Amino acid sequence: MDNHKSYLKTLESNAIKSLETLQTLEEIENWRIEYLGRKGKLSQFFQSFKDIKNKNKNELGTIANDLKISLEQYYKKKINSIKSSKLKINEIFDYSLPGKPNISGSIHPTIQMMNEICNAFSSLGFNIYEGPEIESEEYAFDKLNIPSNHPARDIWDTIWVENTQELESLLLRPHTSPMQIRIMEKYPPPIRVVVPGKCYRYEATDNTHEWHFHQIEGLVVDTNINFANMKSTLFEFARLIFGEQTKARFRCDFFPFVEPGAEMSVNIKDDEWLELMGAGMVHPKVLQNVNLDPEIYSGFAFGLGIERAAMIRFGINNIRDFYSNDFQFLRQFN
Amino acid sequence: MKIPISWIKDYIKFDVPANDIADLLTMAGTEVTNIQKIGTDWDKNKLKVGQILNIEKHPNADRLSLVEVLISNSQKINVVCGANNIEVGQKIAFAESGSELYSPRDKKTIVLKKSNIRGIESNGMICSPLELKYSEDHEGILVLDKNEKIGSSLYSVIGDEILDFDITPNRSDCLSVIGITREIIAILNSHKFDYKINEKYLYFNTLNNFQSKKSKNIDVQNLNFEKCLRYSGSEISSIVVENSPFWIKDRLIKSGLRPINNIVDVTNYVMMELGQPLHAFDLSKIKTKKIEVKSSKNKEKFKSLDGENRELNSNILSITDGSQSIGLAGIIGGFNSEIDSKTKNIFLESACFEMSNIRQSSKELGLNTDASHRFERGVPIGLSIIALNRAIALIEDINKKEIIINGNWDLYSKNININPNKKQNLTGQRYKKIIGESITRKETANILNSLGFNASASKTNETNFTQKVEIPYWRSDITIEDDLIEEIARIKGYDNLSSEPLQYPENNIPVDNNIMYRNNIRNEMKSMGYIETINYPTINNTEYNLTNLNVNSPIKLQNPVNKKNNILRPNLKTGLINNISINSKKYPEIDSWKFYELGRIFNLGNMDNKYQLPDQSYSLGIISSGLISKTNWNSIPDQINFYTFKGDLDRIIKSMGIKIEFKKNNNYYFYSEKSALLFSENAEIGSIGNINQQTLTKFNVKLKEVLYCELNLDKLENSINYNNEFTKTSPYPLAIRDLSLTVDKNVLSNQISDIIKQNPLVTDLNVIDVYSDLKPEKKSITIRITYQSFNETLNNLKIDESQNKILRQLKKHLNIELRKT
Repeated sequence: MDNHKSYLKTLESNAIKSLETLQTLEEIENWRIEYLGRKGKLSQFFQSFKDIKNKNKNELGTIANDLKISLEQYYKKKINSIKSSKLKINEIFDYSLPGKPNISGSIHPTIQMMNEICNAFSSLGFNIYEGPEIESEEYAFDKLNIPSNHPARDIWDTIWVENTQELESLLLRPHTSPMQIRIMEKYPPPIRVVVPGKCYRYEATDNTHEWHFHQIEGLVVDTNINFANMKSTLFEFARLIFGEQTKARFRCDFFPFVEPGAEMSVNIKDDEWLELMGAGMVHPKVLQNVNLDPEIYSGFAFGLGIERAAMIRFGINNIRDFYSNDFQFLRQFN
Repeated sequence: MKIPISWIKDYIKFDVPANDIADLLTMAGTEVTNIQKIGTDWDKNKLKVGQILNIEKHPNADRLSLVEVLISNSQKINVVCGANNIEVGQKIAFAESGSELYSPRDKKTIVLKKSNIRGIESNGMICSPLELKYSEDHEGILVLDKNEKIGSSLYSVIGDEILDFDITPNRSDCLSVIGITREIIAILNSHKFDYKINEKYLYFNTLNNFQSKKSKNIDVQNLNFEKCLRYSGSEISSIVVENSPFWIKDRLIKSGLRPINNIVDVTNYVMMELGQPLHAFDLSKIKTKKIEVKSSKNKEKFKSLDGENRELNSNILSITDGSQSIGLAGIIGGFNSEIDSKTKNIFLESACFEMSNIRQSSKELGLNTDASHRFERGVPIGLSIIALNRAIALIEDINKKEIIINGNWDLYSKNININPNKKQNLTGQRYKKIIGESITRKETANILNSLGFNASASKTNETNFTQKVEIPYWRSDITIEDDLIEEIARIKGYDNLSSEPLQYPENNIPVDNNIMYRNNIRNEMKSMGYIETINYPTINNTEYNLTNLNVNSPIKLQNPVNKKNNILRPNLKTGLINNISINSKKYPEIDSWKFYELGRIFNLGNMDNKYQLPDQSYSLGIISSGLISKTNWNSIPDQINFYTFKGDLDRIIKSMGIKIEFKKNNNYYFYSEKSALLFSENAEIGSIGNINQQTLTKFNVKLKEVLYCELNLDKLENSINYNNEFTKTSPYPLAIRDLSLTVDKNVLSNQISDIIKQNPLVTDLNVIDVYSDLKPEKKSITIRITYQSFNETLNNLKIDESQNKILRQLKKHLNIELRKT
């Protein structure tokens, strides 16, 4: 008992003496760790405390507790006095000293690009909507005029969900196009919508391919929508994203759910044409699949890869950078 | 698919450069991905046709020969050559010193120099196909046709430009030279370029007649009309198998095919030319003298021409000898009926197989061939006989002896129309509705006819017309009016069509606020210094077990990209722990880590949501460790701990306008006991806490204290409220009092604050100090209370009154006393 008591006394006087000599916040922090830290001398004492078999254990506990409180108060006082002496240093004004850092985090470049694209379409009168990542085969393919065993399915190498009793014919959507169907089933025209979201393909990753990527789907349906509207809208979009000087061109391409089908390339600088998105007039069979009369209604749809747009926009040349989640890469996007 | 321009020029003459043709084709939908140029950069005076006059052994090297080459009527050159396929009399590709050639050893183009090889001077080179960039072959020298003129420029013999195409799956007709030629004609016509069509081209545009003739030697039967729509073929004898003439080999090589022998080469040549895959069987090897098209037997063993032993099943259609398969219909031939140098009698097959069955079989066998690629995209039923006649004509041309045709078969169901002759109406109104501008009947007819359609070319300029269009036999992709509209639009060129802004801003799609909510959260996270990550949503079994109590079974993937990661994440823990683990190892000097992810999590559970699909809620995961901020001369930042972390969560919660209850967590499989569960409206919506040491060790995290929090945003969807309503403020001053309380150790701070908040004059409170008391079963808490009234200025009396009420309540419910000092 007395041993313990005297140990605490010595501890107290040592601690107080050494604290008085300290000059910097760093030294004080080391002192705090030495005496009050989780593995500090007082903690060690408390840990050994449980092994002490003594009827005066309670008294000893109170002494140790008081010591802790008093050391904490010494510590706070010391900190305050050092800080005020620091303030004196501050009075020697140096405007070039760095400010207290207030560091911003960052939003992922894919999301930034996605928001930018959504905002551009918003300004063109589109609303934003979302849909599921686990999709059914029916919506991902069949209703989009892509029957099973059709070679057109090769365009979308698909990752399938394992069949169980509850889950059947489900997949990770290989494109955002199933939302064309879901939206037309739910809302009558006029429709003007963009659908951003994650997509997945069963393919090897390289500098320009990711099995996990983001797309934005667009859909416009009304009684009088035509190819000229599509060209104008998508060109306007490209200029909103890549700048006034952007040129766009359209070439014929094939997607089973549009006819005529197109692909838009953009020219931002030099002679380089970059493929940006697939597009086309909604296929009459797709309209029929959602009970819209293709003699009355027409529309256009488009889809673009967000990473691809971000690569063009930010000058990133390896798509793998997006999802390796490297600290140095990500923190640039603040 | 590769096609040399020289082959296209068999059918149509034009002067437009290859680069421009490629660009025009691409814009019209037939994408050219690459142009391979042979000899366009050669020095035409230095690369020429030579003839080997004499071959001697090199005196100092066993594997080398001294070759004397004649390169003009008068000029002989001696070179050292290492190839072993050289023979006296061969016409060869000769490069004089000073020519620029590809060096396979240096993997780049180099200048050929006069050299001394093992003591013998060599003044040029006999070239291999690879050195000429003619093909990938570097086994021996390129041997030219024996009739080539000595000294003529090599470019005039093998120079070419080869277009490499990526054909969309709807255009099976473009998987051939003739199909590409049709496209080029339409484009040249539309862009008003000069061109001249060769009559040979027109021959393939009309269906052929065919005279069936039974043979005494063999019996041919089509026993499956469903999977084999048409089976035609001829029995031919007096065949002499040998190497093909140079011009056939030249075209096959340039098209990316390997020459084998004259018979096999002819089948490949016709496939490239017309798009109809053909196959030749050696009849002497078919002992039963029968050819029957029928289903394979289950588990039947079959050795295909590529040397692979395969196991068949009854879905796969075979060509059989009555019992054994001798070929897999539309996919590959059998080893047991292969054409070889002794073959004299053949059966030449030209068939139409049902496309989806070929696709299924080819997938099952894991075998994609030039034939299956075409059949699964659809080979027109009318093409069988055109191609068969073409192949027979070619064999007649190149076979040494006169061939004898012993039998002809053309076997198809009576119910099938081998000459469909489809028609489709096109109206000017529909064109205008879809494209947005008018077109004249004259223009549509001009474009459609140039593509091989038959549309009446009335000379009127009317735009309000109905046109009956005959669809050519090779265009099975044209089924509706809009398909014709695309044909016209793409040949005109999309860039030449008008452009018109959208008119009406009406929209029935509702605004989805959740997207905005999530972006608000992102902005909050960013302002608190958190970096957003996006992780793959797939995890492996170990990761799943470390981050989940196995309540439900996970959703698994059938064919994940990474075989181990076959589970869809049920929460965001794995990705974020890995983010902090990998980055803290990579950047040990960084002392503050703050990451978050906002993405979907996947759980079985309730399928009764709006899409009847598995639950795929949005979730917010936050992970943090180290210092709160950067160290600076002005301040030493604190370590991140449960309470600093909880402060960040509080800010998010506040910004969303929701109320969250913290409850005790009793499951320490992921967190340590310093953790809590989060509830909103009595539903569990997340958790927060220190990740326990065991989990950190398993994820290889070397940091000491790591905090994690996850919120299921979809479960909060209905309570989020960003439209903070205005609350009236009081005109009377605030009063602030501190209460120091002695409290039982196990009383939670929110139990105290809940009681204090009940007092109507209390507008705010804050715990400003917590420390252990002298008595070990007690602790001290200091609470700063803000009092304010809407009716009056509060004097000390009023405040004391309230404070005493509070103390009485605290005493009554929680046995709390004012701290004695």
